[in-house]
Parts: sequence; structure tokens; C-alpha cells
Amino acid sequence: MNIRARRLQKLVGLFVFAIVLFNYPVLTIFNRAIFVAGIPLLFCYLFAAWFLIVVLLLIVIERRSLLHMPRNIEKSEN
Amino acid sequence: MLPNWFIFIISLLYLGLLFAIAYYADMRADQGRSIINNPYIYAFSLAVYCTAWTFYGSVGRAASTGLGFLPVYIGPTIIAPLWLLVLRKIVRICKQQHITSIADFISSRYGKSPFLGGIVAIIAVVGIIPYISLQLKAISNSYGILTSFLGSADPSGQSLNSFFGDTAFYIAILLAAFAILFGTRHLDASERHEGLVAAIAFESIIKLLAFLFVGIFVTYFLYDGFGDIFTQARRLPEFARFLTISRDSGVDWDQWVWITLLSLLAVMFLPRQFHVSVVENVNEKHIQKAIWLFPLYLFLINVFVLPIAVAGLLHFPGNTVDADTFVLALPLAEGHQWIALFVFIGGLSAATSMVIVATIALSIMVSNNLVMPILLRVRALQISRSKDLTRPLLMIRRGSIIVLVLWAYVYFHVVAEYYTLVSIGLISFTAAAQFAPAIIGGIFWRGGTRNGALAGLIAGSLVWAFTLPMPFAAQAGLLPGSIVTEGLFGISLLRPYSFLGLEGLDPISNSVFWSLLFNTGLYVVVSFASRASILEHSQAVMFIESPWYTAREGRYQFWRGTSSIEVLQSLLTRFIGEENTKKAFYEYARIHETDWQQQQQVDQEFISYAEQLLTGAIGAASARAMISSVVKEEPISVEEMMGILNETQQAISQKKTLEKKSRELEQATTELKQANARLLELDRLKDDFVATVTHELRTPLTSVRAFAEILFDNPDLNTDQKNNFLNIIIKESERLTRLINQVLDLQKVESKTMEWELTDIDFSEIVVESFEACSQLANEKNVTCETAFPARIPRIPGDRDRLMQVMLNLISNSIKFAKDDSGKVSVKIAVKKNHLRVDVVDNGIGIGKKDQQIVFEKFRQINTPDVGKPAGSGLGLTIAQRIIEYHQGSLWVKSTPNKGSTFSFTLPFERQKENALPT
Repeated sequence: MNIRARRLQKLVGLFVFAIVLFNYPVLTIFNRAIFVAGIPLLFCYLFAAWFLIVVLLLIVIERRSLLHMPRNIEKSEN
Repeated sequence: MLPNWFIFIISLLYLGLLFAIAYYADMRADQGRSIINNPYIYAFSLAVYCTAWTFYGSVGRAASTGLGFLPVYIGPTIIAPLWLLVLRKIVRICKQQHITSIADFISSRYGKSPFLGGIVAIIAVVGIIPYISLQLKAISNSYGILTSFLGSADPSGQSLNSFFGDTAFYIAILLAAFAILFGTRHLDASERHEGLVAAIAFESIIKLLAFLFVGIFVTYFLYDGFGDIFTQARRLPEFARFLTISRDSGVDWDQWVWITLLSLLAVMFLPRQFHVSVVENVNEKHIQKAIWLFPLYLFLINVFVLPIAVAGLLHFPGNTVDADTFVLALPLAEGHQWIALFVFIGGLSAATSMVIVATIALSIMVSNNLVMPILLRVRALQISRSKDLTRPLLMIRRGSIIVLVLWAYVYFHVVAEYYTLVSIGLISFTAAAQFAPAIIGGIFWRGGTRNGALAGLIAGSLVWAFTLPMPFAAQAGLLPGSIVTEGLFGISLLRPYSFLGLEGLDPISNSVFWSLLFNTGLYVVVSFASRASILEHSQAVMFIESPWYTAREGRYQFWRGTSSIEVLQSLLTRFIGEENTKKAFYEYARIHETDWQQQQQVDQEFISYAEQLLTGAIGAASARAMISSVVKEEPISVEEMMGILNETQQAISQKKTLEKKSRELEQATTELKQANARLLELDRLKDDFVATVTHELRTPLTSVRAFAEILFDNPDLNTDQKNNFLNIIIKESERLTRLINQVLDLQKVESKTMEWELTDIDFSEIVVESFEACSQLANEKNVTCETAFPARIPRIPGDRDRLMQVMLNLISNSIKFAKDDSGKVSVKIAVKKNHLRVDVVDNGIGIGKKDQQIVFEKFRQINTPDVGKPAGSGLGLTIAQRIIEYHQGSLWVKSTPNKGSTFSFTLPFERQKENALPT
């Protein structure tokens, strides 16, 4: 399959994923008066999820340029 | 305290800097060395989304609703992944059709309808003016705070305020001047405004830096980080609202969902967003980077909003300071005037960038979709007579900029002063969202018609006007308040905040739901009920199939018209000027390789080209009207058009198939090429093999023959010498035999004709026997041998003799290469889950990383300078590897030079079926 079409499909997947992350009812899981290192849980969750989406978008969009980074391939042992 | 005049001068200097940047960027563009042709600048220019509302209003909204400020930024983050699908398509269509505004886009899609364009322009102006005035309000508020915070300014605070009113006015005028200078440079609005974009991107950087700066200042200098702020906030009475989303905290789930939806539409269809993301787009590839950069920008500018809001509430208890101004008030209260000044500049950049882009975008709509169609209709004779229309056109656009800015200024004094930043912003968002059904339907659904779009837009905007601006006007005292409480004409179903009896939603959600429902519903229903005209059909095809047309193919014909070149030339000259017309005609001739000056009659393609040139200057609807006034056109019949459409459809599907086929072909070609390369390599290997075998056979043969000749020629040699020579001959023949056996073995393994005798064997026996067989060799080199086995080793299926051959080969190799005096060779057997693992370890010279791959190749022996060529044929390891592979295991080596090598292999307990073998 064509690389571009695959990327488009991944982006549509991320769109759906973002809708799920930032919406009722998933948000209700984190909608509690609990603190993480002194910071309200919901605040932490929203910004963490936001950052996750940005990173995933970055990976999907810039995948080709990221792939050019050197990598070590080790022979895996049986 | 910073003096009043000082702040004013600083603001002027900042605006002066903007003028300079824009001037420089325009200069570079004229030289053909664009500075905005860059995805980062594009992403930053999209951040015009963040206005004074973001800069000041978010903190205010966070103070009153906790996390309720976030959906406005989460919406754009959610839609960003779809930009490659939606935004890129819109950009492509606009470039093909020379479309310069939302109004033109919608009007053009639905048959270049002037009426539709006019309606969109009116909705945009009415919806966006309050938003512009909101920016002026923010400038004036921030200015007021900075000069007179906590009453610490001079005693003449009252006179200051009246003077300040004038200051906001001056800034508004300066912004209008900027918009005129850099937004109306060209007649053709489809030419980009590079100076404008550069200045906007710069402003986006400044406002981000300023907000991060004050955020870090408040969070890490006034307090000890996020945790500290929230810990101290526990003593606030309103603390609970920062923790969760609930009805008590001022934002509930309905509102969360509706505002998210609203803002994900607004980020694409607000006129200013459409302008920077579509009209000013230099290269559609830039959209890709913006997909992650823009959400990142939004993330960064929002991280510190809640901490600042909480810090503001802690600092100024009891509502003494408006929460919308916390970003300024906090540094000022701590005596950091310079930080406050930087924040003020950041807020100024947020406000001014919005005002500039919004007025330019609106002015293009006003001139092309409101004023031009009216002028062409009402005073058609005068317009067609006047020789040069370029100047009046520019004047209309410039005049509309001034009118829009002044209108916003007046609005700010009359209405906007009563409301918070965010509430006005959301009203404008809801207005912009009304364009979504017509646009999204327009680019994906061929069935959408002009009447459908018209019905949807009018219904949606009427519901919007009734449910949002009207109650606001009632609250401001412009209309009787009973409309809000009892409903229009006292009908309780017509209460704006509980429209049609829907209770329980807040005003914004209520309005978004009803207006989009009526809008989309009528758009779909009326589209089904009405018939599209020929022009609508053709435009629908061009919009929906845009990816398959190049600009040239796009101009295909639904009209048969002819015209003379002079008529078209004079028409274009009147609207876009003589020089531009000539340039465009030469460009057309260059692409089509014709000489337009030689032609008298021009064809439909040329007429379409001229129409698109006009579209950039005066809008699609007016351009169509002007062209049809000078060209004798006969529209083709519906049957003919359907025929053409079908043909095009077939051509497109053939094109798609062709592209798919050619991709497959390309793939097959690469596969063939790879196969061919593999074959060539195998052929080369075979040649090498034959050459090497011959060479290896000749060496012992030569010495056998040499010594035999010596014996033959010298019958009188003494017995010792004779025996010695005969000994050599025997050894060399043995070597010859061994070599030939190995070559035969290898050939058998590789051609799969080897006969295997599989039995259940105990591998430890093989190891012990191999060591015994090699004991002579080990003693000669003084090498110690060790073995380490677990107590019980499962029996494995295998060919005993062949596996023995492998072990002998590995052990004798290890002994050969082990250290001379303190040599050590050990064999370990480990029982794994489904296989045996055997390691043969030595402490010899080791094998370099490079050579570890090639030791298994045929006749490859590693030549080390100090050791020289080792004894042996160079086939042993290859054969060993083949034997292990036959047993469905694998053989590999790990080694460190000068430390030793470990040859390891695995043998599975159970054989897979033959046909499941990897080949």
C-alpha cells in the first residue's frame, strides 16, 4: 500500500484517538479530587494526553526523517 | 510606575517594528527571495488563532470555571490530524480557482452565486465585528491596568481615562493603516501578502514568549512550582473548581463537548483562520508540519494559564481585580513593571494580529461579495464605461478596512464594555461555525446545491442571532429584557436560552446545537429537494474531484463561447491593470505554446483563464457576470453536460487505475531487479567457487607430483629421505581426498541430495567423543579442554555422524586458534525451552567484527598478518552451518579480538514438518 495513504489513515486514527482522550466519558476516569505530586489529577491528565497527541502527530508526520537516524541492529538470540 | 506617555511610545515603537518587518518581507518577496516560504512561519501565522482572548481571557475564564478554558484549544488539537484531508483540499481548490475568501469559496462552489456570497459576507461581518472590538477592548483594558493599577498612578486618573480612550483610537487607526498598506498592495487578492504573514508570525512568537515568561515568573519565582501553587490554593473557597469538571465548577460535560466541537470548526472557518491557512498558504506541503506544530503551540501557551489564575486569586482575594487582567496585575503587584510591560507587549501583539488579519479578510469579502456585485448591478452602465477600475477597486477595499475598524471601535464603546472577553469570542465562534456545513458538504458531497446552502446558512445564522447576540443586546438594555425571560412575543418556546423548550444547556451549547442543527438539516433537506444548475454541477465536480485536476485541466468546458482577444484584454485591463493583463496573457501563451497576439478568436479555455484572473480581483460571482457580459456563450444542454461529466469521471477512474497499475509495475520492476542482482551474485559466487576449488586441488596435486618426480628421477635416494618424501605424498593425497569429500558434502547439502539418518541422539556423547578424537591435537598445542553439561539432557532428533562432524570442526578450529601455551577450550550445553544450546568457547586470537560474517562463507579464511593463513580447506564452517540449518537450528559466532571466540548453535527438540522449513 502507498505510504501516503497509510499516513492519512494513521492521522484519521489519531483524530479518533484524540476525540476519545479528550471527551466524556474517558475524562470522568480522571475527574476526581486526587493530587499527583501536589497537582490536580485532571490537570495532569489533560496536559499529558495533549502532549502525547503532539508527540504521536510528530512521529506520524516526520517518520521518514526520523527513520534516517542511525540505529543499531543486534542479532537476536534464540 | 511607568508614565503614560512612555507606554504609549513603547506601543508605537512596537507597531513601528511590525511595519518594518512587513516592509522587509514584502521587499524580499518582490526580489523573489521569500522569507515566509517556510513551514515554521506558516505554523506560527496559524497561531493568529490565539488572540487577546487567549492572552488575557483564558486566565479570567480559568479563574471562574477552572479547566473550562481548555476546550477552545483542545478542539483545534483534535481536528489538526485531519488537515491533510480537509485543509489541503481547500487550499488546492482555492489555488485552482483563485478564491480569496470564505464568501467566495461558498459562492463559487454553489454556482458562483452572488447572493450566497453576499449572505456569507454579511454573516462574517456581523459575527466578527464584536470579536474585533473585543481586541480593542483588551488593548484598552491592559493599557488602563498598566497606567493606573491599584490607584498608584497619578491623581489625574480620570483625565487619563479619557485620554486613554483616544489612545485606543490611535492604535485602531494605526492598525487600519497597517492593514491598508500590507493587505491591499495588489489588486489580485489571490496574490499573497508576504509582509502581512511575516508580521503575524512575528507577533505569534512574541505573544508566546511573553505568556511563557509571565507563566514561569508566577509559577517559579512567586511560587515554588506547580505543586506549591496548588497546595497553597487549598485555602481558597473556590478551590474545588480547579480540581474537576462539574456543574458547580462552572463547566459541565455538555459545555465541554459543545465548545470543543465549536472550536474545532472555528479554527478552520473563522475568516482570519481561513485567510492565513488557505489564502496565504505558500506551499501545501507546509500544512504537514503545522499539524503537529500548531497543537504544540497551543499546548505551550496554555500550560501556565491555570497556575496564573490560581495565583491571581490567592493574591487578590475578594474580586478586587478583574481576573482577565491577572497576567498584568501579578507582576505589577510584585513591583516588576518591566515584566508587566513585556506582558503588555505580548497582549498587544495578540490583539493587533487578530485585528489586522480579520479586517483584511473581511474587507476582501465586503468589496468582492457585497460592494462589487451591487455596483455592477445598480450602475452597470457607468461601471462598464469607465476605463480604469483598478483604482476604485483598491479604494473600495481600503475604505472597507477603515469602516470595519471604526465600526469595531464604536461597538467596543457601546456594547463590548459590559462583557468578558471569552463570552464575546464564543459568540463569534458560533457565527463562524455556520460556514462549516456548506464548506465541508461542498468539498465532499456532490449533491449539495445552492438553495440548500442558502437555506442552511440563513436558518443557522438566524437561530444564532436569536440565541446569542439578541439576549446580549437585551441584557445591555437595547431590547426589552422580557424576551430573555418570557420569550419572543411572550411565547415560551421562543426563549433564546431555552430554544424550543430545550432546558438545561448553557447559552453557548444551546446556540451551537440549535443553529448547527437547523443549518445542516436544511442544507441537506433542501439540497435533496432542489435541482442544481449546470454551473453548480460543474463547480461541484471541480471542487470534489480537485485532487485529480491540474490547474490547466480544471478549466474544461461547460460553455461553448467565443470571444475576441481584444474584448477580453480590454475587460481585464479595466479590472487588473494593463501590465498585469499582458503578463498573464504571455504566461498563458508560454504554457500553451501559442502566440496570443496572432489569434483573433479565443476558445473557451482561454475565456475560463481570463475568468479566473478576474475572480482573484473581484470575486467569483462578479467575474462570471463580467465575462458573460462580453462573451457570446451558449450553455450546453444538460444531456451534453452529463455526457462530459461521465467522460471525465471515466477519465478520472482510468487515471486512478493507471496510477495504481504503474505503482504495481514499479514494484514488480524493483523486485525483478533485486532477483536479477541476486542471480548475478550467485553466478559470481559459483565462478569463484570453481576457481577456488581448482586452486585448492592443484596445490596438493602439485606437491604430490613434484615429490613423485623426485623419487622417480633419483632412485638412489637414501631410505630416510625416501620415506620422508613418501610421507609427504601420502599426507597431501589425504588432504586432497578430504577436500574432495568436503566439496562433495557441500554439493550434496546444497542440492539437498544428502542422505540423512535421523535417530534420537544424546548430544553429550557426541561432545565427549569429539573431545577424545581431538585429544591428540590438544596435547600437541598444550590446550586444556573442559565440558559443562546439565545432569539430564533431552535426546534430540539428528544425524549422529553429521553432528559429530560439526562438533569436530568447531572443536578442532577452537584448538587451532586457542592460545599457544595457556589455551583453553570449553563446551557448554544448556537446555532451553524448546531447544538445546551449545557453546564452544576458546580464549584465542578472536575474530574481528567485520570478519564474523564471512567466516561462514565458502573458502573464506581469515588472514591475520601475525598468524598467517590457517590450515584447512575453508569449507568446514560452511558445511557445519548447513548441517545445523538442516537440523532447523542456527549457528553463529560472537567474538572479541585477542579475547577469544564463542561459536554457538541451537538444536530444537522437535522437528517441524519439512514443508514448514524456511528456504
